[in-house]
Amino acid sequence: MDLQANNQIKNWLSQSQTGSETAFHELYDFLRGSSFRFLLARVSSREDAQDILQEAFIDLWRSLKSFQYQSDAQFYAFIFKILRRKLSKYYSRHKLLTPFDEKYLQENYESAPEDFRYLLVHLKNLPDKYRVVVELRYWSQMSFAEISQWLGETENNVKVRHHRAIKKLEDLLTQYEQ
Amino acid sequence: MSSNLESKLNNIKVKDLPEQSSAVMWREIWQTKDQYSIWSRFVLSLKNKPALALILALIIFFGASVTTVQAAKRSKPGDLLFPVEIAVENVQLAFSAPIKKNELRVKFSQERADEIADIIQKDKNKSGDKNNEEDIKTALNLLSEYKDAIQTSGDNRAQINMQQVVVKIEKALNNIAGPFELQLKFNKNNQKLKFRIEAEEDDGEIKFNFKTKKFASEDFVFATSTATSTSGLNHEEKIAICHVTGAGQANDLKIATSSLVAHLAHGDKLGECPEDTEEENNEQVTSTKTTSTRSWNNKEKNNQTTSTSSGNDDKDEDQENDKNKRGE
Repeated sequence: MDLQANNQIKNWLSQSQTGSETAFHELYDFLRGSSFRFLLARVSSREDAQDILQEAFIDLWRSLKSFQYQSDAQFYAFIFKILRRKLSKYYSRHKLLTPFDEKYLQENYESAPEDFRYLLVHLKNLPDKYRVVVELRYWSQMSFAEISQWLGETENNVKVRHHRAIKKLEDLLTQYEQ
Repeated sequence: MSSNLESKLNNIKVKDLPEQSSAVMWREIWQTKDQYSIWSRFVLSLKNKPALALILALIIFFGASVTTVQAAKRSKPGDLLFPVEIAVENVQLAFSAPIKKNELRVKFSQERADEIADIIQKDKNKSGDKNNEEDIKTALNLLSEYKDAIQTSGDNRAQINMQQVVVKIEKALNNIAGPFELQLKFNKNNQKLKFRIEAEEDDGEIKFNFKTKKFASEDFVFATSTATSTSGLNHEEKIAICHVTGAGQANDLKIATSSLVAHLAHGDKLGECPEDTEEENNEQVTSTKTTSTRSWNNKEKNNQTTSTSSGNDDKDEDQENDKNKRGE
């Protein structure tokens, strides 16, 4: 995600609200990458991540008429809320997630650490507010500034949470090794 | 270690959506973005039609109320919705013409009778269940109110109909399976004893089992063999109750089964009074023709026997026996 491109957000939004396909497509291109990567950290298959992403953008389109732009951060938080809501519905439909295997890793990751599977397992055990920071930072490749906008938090808070998340993850991995 | 873990995490590279997949997804989004389900379209349209939304809300509210009332109609004493049923009946009574009130009272009494029969039927093997006794009592109390109101009104036809309902309830109560049971405690020569009588209807006869046990022991021991009444059941068969007078005194009474409901309705209890509430000079006890081998002294002040009689012929003889017990 490129923060500089954010100057366009307001324009894309206002044009989309009048029904512009081009403007909405710009929003789609701008957001799909980081959204998809975040969803991939949360679901058990690529297809599920694509389905949720598609539904999220349909929901975004339908909500645009009632959305009143105040800031880019407000818009990002709005998108993030839609994604979280979709994930919540997904979890209610899929009680048991498919465990990660080699095929899943090859399908979805260009590179990953050797003990990645264990890392993913322990990541799920983190409190959600820490886990989401880790996922947005390392899956969605966002900066702390961008994460703070998506979460509606201050950048300092995000950094603190990141630090605590890493600490907790280390503890979990250490306990596992022992 | 943090840097080690962070560098591991920095190695994570997710495979993005390929351009082709992204384009396909975009087409899907654009084509389906305005395709709402029928229900969603309807709900969204209500945003611009507040009057219609209000009417729908009222319909849903009344629909839910009607459903609750309908469900309450099928309830019986002890059910959650039974108070709703009674409330609805009271509203019906309040708003009905005076000429129709007694008809409604008879109708509601009929429903109480059916409910009592239902409770008894469903719990045939658990006649000692306190909850069911309470539920039956609730139904009987309501019945008693309707009966009193009908009597006060002087409506003969309604009274006759009510009597039929009472007979129906008596039949249901007489069908309670399992024995009537009475337990008594008393002292005999500083020995504490429990005395239990079980009465059970069997093919037109009443059979009695007498049992005693000492307080310390766990088991009841037969003190005698079974005694049987001499003639079959009929509507005039006597049944023992603990009668509570207006002054709050409790006496043992033998009454006809046809008056059982009325007695229960004003607070009398089935079976004899507990020992410490009984008034000796109001006792009207008839004994069975039995070959009991009781070992205690019949002249003991607190000694009690209970039985039923098939008719009134034994009354004089039994009263004579009581006099003998009291040493008169």
